Amino acid sequence: MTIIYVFASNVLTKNLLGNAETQIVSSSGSTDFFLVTSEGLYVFNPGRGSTPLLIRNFPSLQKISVHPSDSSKIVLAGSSRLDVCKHLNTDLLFCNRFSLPTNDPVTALKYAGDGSIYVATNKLYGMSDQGPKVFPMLAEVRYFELSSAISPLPTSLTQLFWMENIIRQTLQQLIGLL
Amino acid sequence: VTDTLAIGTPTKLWRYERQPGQSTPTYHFYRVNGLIDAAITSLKFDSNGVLYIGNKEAMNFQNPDLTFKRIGGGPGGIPYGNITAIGTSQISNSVWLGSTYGVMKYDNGTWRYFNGPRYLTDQAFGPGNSIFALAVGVYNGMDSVLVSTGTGLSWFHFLSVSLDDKATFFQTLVKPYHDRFGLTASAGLSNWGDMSSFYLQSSENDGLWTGMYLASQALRYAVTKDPDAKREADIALEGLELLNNVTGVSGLFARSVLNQSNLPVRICFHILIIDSINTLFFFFFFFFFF
Repeated sequence: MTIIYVFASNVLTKNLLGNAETQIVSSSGSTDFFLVTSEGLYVFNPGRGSTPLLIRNFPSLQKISVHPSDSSKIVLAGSSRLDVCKHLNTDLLFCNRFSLPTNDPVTALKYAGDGSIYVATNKLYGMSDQGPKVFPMLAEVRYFELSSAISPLPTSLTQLFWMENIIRQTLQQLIGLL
Repeated sequence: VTDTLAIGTPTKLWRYERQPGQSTPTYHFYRVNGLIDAAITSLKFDSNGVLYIGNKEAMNFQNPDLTFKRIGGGPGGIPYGNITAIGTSQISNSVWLGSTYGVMKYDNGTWRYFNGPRYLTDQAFGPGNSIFALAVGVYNGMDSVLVSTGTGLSWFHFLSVSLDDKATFFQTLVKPYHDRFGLTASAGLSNWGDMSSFYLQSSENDGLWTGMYLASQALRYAVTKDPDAKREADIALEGLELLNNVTGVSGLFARSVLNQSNLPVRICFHILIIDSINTLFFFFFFFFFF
């Protein structure tokens, strides 16, 4: 007879992660977890019994988002900084670094399936090739979510949040490096 | 397929949608303290487009047709409020929720609640029971959930084990941590979470646990004929004999015994509480199988 247990392992103490609250995301199709800490980005695979590995030094890192259909693409955001990265293997990450137009804490971040990047601070801050915009009706954004079926965005939203060209350029550069 | 952007603020849930063929999105908003009980603390879409909304009072969810459902407290309801994080399974309809006091799993109307040092990184009521973040992945074809707490990380995963594996796991803990004069005794830890700091304790249930352990070894021997099972049963029986003999009255069981000092030369036992029906029951159970 076989029974199924929920088993919990306490895997490490907070001292190893710094003193910040962490965000955790899992990537589809992989058993890896990404951990956001006050030091930067860790990758961690508890099933392999490994210890978390720091793969991106980013002292003000606040949020991460993984592309919904390509777990090698991740975006990181912190105070006034946005890193668009490609995760090549367990311990290798190539990133291009951009400036965010605000020092306010990033409250939410999302990599959409069409390559767009959504960024929220205490106000819903949009990134576009015309510069930053604020959507005052949506002040004090704390959380946002995208349905998984996102395709190219409607014009009004695209103008607010669009960074696709920047990302494409970044990935082309990365591919060139390889 | 509808493209949807859901946005939570302290006062509203905004929802932007673009239906197929539409060039501009439509939007809706729902006021907090209306359909949603309180300020939104977490949002998550599952793969079916259902939006889960957490707050301090309840878990709400909104279907793709924009209807809401609320699961608050009470019988069959959410075990605990104050939701801080939501994750959805990649392989089932399960929803995992972090709160300021533990982790919850919701699966088609059934709740499970995980709290305290068995699952999290702290003693009961400590900051390690408060969940900061949570993510759901896959491990061995089942959910794998990593949570961060006030004191560390905890990884929830599922194991398929046989009853024999389960028995073997617990068997390995008995001899090194719970054997006190042959009794199956309670053990404490001087340093929380540090197994090497264990110490044996006397309790009024020593006879009960020993009787149960004796019965388990009798059953084990009956099935496996493993000589180790008989050895373990003999040791437990000697522990029960000690409880019987130490009172000086034949047939009258002590609930526990305690060594007066650590001196090995002369052992003097204090009888704590006598008379244990449970112990007698397992004592006779043992003889039935042998």
